[in-house]
Amino acid sequence: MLPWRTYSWNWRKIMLRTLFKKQVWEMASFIYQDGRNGKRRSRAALVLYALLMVYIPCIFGWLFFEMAGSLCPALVQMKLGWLYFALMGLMATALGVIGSIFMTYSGLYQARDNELLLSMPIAPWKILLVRLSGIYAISFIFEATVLIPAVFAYAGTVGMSVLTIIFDIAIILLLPLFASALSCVLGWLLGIVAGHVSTRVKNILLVALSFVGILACYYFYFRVMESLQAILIQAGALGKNVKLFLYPLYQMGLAMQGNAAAFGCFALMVLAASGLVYAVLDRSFVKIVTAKRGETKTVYREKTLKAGTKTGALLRKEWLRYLGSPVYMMNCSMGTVFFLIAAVLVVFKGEWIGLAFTQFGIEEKNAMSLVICAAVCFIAAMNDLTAPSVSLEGKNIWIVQSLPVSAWQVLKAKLKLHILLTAIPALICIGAAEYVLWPGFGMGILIPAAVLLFIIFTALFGLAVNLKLPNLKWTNETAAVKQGIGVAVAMFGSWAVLLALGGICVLTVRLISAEYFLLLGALLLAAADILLIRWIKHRGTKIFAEL
Amino acid sequence: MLRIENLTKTYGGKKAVDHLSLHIRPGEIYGFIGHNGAGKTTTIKSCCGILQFDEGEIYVDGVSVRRRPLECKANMAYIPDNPDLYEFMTGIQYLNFIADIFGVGSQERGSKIHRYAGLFELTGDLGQPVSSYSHGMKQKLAIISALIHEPKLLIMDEPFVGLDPSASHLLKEIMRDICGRGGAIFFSTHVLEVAEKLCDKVAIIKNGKLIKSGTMEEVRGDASLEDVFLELEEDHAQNII
Repeated sequence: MLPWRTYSWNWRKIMLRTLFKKQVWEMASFIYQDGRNGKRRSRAALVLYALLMVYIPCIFGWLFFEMAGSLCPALVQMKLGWLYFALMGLMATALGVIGSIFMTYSGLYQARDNELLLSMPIAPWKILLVRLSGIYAISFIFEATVLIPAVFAYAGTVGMSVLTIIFDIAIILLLPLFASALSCVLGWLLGIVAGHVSTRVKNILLVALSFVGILACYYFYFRVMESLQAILIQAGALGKNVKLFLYPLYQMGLAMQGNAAAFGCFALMVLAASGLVYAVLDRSFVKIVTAKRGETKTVYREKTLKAGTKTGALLRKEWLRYLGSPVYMMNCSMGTVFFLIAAVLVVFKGEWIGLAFTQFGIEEKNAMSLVICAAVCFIAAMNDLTAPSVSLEGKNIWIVQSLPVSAWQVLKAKLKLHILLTAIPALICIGAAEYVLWPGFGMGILIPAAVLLFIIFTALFGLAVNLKLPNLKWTNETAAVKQGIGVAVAMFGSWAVLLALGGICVLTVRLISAEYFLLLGALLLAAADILLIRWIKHRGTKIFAEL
Repeated sequence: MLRIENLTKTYGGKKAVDHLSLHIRPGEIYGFIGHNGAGKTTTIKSCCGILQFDEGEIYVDGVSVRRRPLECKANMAYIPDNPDLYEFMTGIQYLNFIADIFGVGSQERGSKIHRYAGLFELTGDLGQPVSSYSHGMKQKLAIISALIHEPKLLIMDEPFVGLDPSASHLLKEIMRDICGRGGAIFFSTHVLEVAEKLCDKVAIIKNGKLIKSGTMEEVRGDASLEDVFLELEEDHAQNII
């Protein structure tokens, strides 16, 4: 008989370390690993990726620094420094929750390797702890993007003692604990709701909730920036409400100013709340991850099946993938929702646009048209559906590779989905804007034409980037969509092109009229589109076939 | 039906398949045997046009896979060793997708799905998302999707893994039926008893090289396929040393 294997205390420590390592590898694999062959990237590529990973939070950090810089001096002067930190903390927590909720859902409750890990001699609480550390890390990144600039703005206004620095660092580390606990609870609630609806309804629900969260953040951000004066006038009342309804934030605000008692109180509240969530999760983790959720059983009844074309089938496949993935919907089609909201706002609150133009001193109709065109293109660039589309094939790539369809047909379907989901709402938005501010016949035709060419460009550019930087070896699709460098490159690249076109506009403003500039821009975009189509058709299809 | 000529595929300097030649004729069930990492999956994927190969040529019904891949793919079906199917689709959506790609008419696909899903006892589950399927159910769905366009050539990588005994039995009958109607089957397996009972011909591969092929009688003689396989593996190892 084989001897019974026992595990030493030291081995258990090693196991926990190994699990943490696995979590870090999984989360950071897109940086050091080539998604195509799973091999380590070159040192130069590693440096480039690391720089980009620093660059993106810095850009957002700068935005929040701007906001903090406007809010901090006034509130500090009114002796409401705590309210300043409370408002920034609220923003940070909201961002932390929104940023980590998808990871909670897919990485904690639905991770593909949950069952594999549970089958090993690992205590479930260790798996839970390691998974939570990943959620904590994501929440931390989001929160730090808000709170670190907030602390710098405060230091620049008031200065800081050693104690304040220590408390601020501790709070920056503590707050993500609360956000990740909240994210776990919301993820768990979503799981329960998901158990009672079909997968598609569940996905739409997830996306809708996230959009509401993000819109709330945007609304909060812009409201703060726009109504700074109003906030300052009503700061006293606002402070009273925060103290009454968001008491932990009040304590956090005081603590970040160096109040030791408030720090103790806040730390206790955060630790108690997250400890409670951890304890509940620990008791039900195995049950949650092994339960079949999100699948209402429907018995199939035979019916006449409609035959379709190859092209239609491939496009439908892309559409079903889109509807089947809340992470994909959420991260890659923000522009679609913004377009629809913008269209409604333009029609019903058209006077706002006029007022905004007047405020910025833009009174000439052609200049207004150019600004509208640029704004629509900016929103269009937020849709980057093609950017992770190749990566999303993942382990399923053999299907299209073994079917009698060319790589170009497969890639064309991905382009079509991007163009349809972006162009239709963009045209609705342009239609609404032209209804309110008719730019004349020439511009009325040129604006949608230029926007369409830009949308085609973003679709092609995203696809080209993903063909060059695919990641087919993911365990949950968040890695393909959210952690892939291609998505960021595609979005920022498209914005860079837009910025370059804006630069050309500034340089040529005295030489050519707005119509001619738009025509020139459209021609440049058309040329770029043709070049990208040629590259994808010739080189891109070969890359796809060899993946 | 399938002719492999001097197929060579290299991964980073290592030859996964080394000048392999095989000929599978219409009406034949051809088994492909070898140890793990011998090059079976690489050969199979090359035949299906999934992998680009370095040397040699593969013909399906006289048509080159390298030069006219779509034509070849339209006449064959492939079932991988691990049925990773689109989890965002329901079973019926997946079958409809495959039928659209192969241009199968509305009535024909209806009757094929009715027949095969009924045989594999999957009809009631076709409305469920593939993500909710067990490994065996996914394997059954992959098999049904492979049969929907009546392929002339069926290429399978370990097709019996994950199937319950009755589904295994059914698949064997379907394989015989396809061959009876002039089709051909090329499949890899580790289950030598299955190969012995089912195959007309068999090929044994080791380290990318063909070490024996022919009719079942030619390959095994009076011994069992398992004995022959183990003996050949040993001989080959000694020759290398």
